[in-house]
Amino acid sequence: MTKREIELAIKNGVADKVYPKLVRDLINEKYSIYDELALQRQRNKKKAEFNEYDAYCEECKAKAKELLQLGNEE
Amino acid sequence: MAYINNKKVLSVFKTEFVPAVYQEKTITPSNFTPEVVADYGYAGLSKVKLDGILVDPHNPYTTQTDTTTAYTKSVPSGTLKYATLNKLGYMCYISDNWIILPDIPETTTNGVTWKIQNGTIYLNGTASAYFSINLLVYCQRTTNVTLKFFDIQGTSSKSSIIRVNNTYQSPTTTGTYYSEITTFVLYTDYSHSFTNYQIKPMLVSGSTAPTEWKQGFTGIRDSVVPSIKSTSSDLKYNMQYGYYIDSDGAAQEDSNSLYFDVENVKPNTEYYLDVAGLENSTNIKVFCFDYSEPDSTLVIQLSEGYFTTPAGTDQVSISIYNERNKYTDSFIGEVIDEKVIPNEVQALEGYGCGINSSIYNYIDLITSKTISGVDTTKSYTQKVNKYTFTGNESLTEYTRSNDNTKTYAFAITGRATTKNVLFAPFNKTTATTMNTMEDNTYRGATDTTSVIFYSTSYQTSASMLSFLTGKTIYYELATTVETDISSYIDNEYIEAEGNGMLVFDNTYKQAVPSEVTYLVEVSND
Repeated sequence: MTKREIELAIKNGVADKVYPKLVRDLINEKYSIYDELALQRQRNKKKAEFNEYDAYCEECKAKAKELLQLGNEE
Repeated sequence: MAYINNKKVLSVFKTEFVPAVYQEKTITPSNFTPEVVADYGYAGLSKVKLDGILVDPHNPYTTQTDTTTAYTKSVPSGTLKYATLNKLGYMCYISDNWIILPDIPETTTNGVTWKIQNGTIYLNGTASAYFSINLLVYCQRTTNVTLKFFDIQGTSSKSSIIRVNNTYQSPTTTGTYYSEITTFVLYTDYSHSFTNYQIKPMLVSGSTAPTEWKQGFTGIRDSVVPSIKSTSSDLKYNMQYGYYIDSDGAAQEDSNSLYFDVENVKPNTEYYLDVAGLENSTNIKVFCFDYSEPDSTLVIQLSEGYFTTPAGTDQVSISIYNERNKYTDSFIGEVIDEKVIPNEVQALEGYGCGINSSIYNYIDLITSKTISGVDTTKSYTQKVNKYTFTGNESLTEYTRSNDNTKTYAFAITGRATTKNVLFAPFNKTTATTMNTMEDNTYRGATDTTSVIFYSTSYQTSASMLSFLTGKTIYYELATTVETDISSYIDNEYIEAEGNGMLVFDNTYKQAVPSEVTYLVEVSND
């Protein structure tokens, strides 16, 4: 999402609805869809890499909430 | 089934552990910003690719940015409440159709106080007896000129106040007049009243000012956009032949006019009326009905634009006198928001000026700049300035080697050495040397800051300077000037309603460059 989209979403009161998209955008800055599929398939064999990916996803969720000025509810 | 801008897209399917399949279908909402959206958490989700973007069923919104140069902009369907005005620019337009009237100081005739100033006729008061303001316009024999009036403001108790060649017309009427000598008369009669009324005559675009035109000159209009108004879309109309109110107050059918009713109109509320094809539409009247007082019908005479419903209005009916089959769609909407450009910004040098589609002054409300050491997100960028000759200038004279006639140059401090110059009274020449300049032309020198003028009518420095005095030249600056305006404008938001309109209001209703971004909801069945 662009900065403009984020600002407009906040201003229009729909930040919670675009939250999933922003999370995905942030994750995809580091992991492509194919990277994610590979990690999912090998999550039991490459636990360290999967855990690193999972932690990164959680960081993205937190960052998205901060950018969209959302609270900490799940 | 998902929709974007009312165009269907392929359905999306969710499967488990199947590689993603992309299905491509070209639909052209051309102002979509291309982006790649990957899918988080749903392996194998099929996506639809539309002109470079992937439609994501989990994202119900997208942005649309309109960068067109326009006087009005349509707001996309599905737009959420707040949009952003990113940029607003200005433009100068050369008009060769103005009629310059003599300036006449304010005087009172038969109870009406009137004056003529800068081509505009002003009237105020109630006439105790007939009088007229006669204005002669000399034309070549057999030359057709079409007269029109604009900048109509205030009110006149009678509509047919213009007499041209013995035909009485409303100022909103466009007619074709050809004669060796044409007179147009502003006519008043007993009890005719004006309230801060003003009109400005001009030739309709496309008319050719004859060479023997006595009271015309080419001029530049520069745009000043004091406010951007956002309107809803309340248009509900039933196309029927119109009617007029006769002297007995009865409605009579007029088969040459069309009308439509607008429901749910509010009293004391400002509306905007836009009639496409206005050149062929005349005598626009807005009838405001108060059903609690059925005998009272207020008629508001319009040329176009804004009007405010009086107290008690329940319904509005709009009548347009028009040639049959030349009517096109109209729009009416309630003004729901206004973004005013502060006076402090309007007072900045060069505000309202622009030479062409790439060289113009503008405000940028989403920028990221450092101006005089201060970071700002709101700036005014000046690329154009204007200079008005005072008569005290010093012109440099050059003699053409081919015919010994003279050209005159004036150096403008700060002008860029480009051809980006506007001067209305002369045509801009494409010639690059003074010997090849055509008569009555000018050019911006590309090796100095001078602007060069050439006219066989003005072959002395004194006569050329006399001609230039009071006239204005617009030029590109050598150095762009940036001004921080964040202390005057604190946000870039404006309310918008889907299917409504944004009006970039300015004196001459001319198109201006602008950029607006909307947040649009993607409709899903």
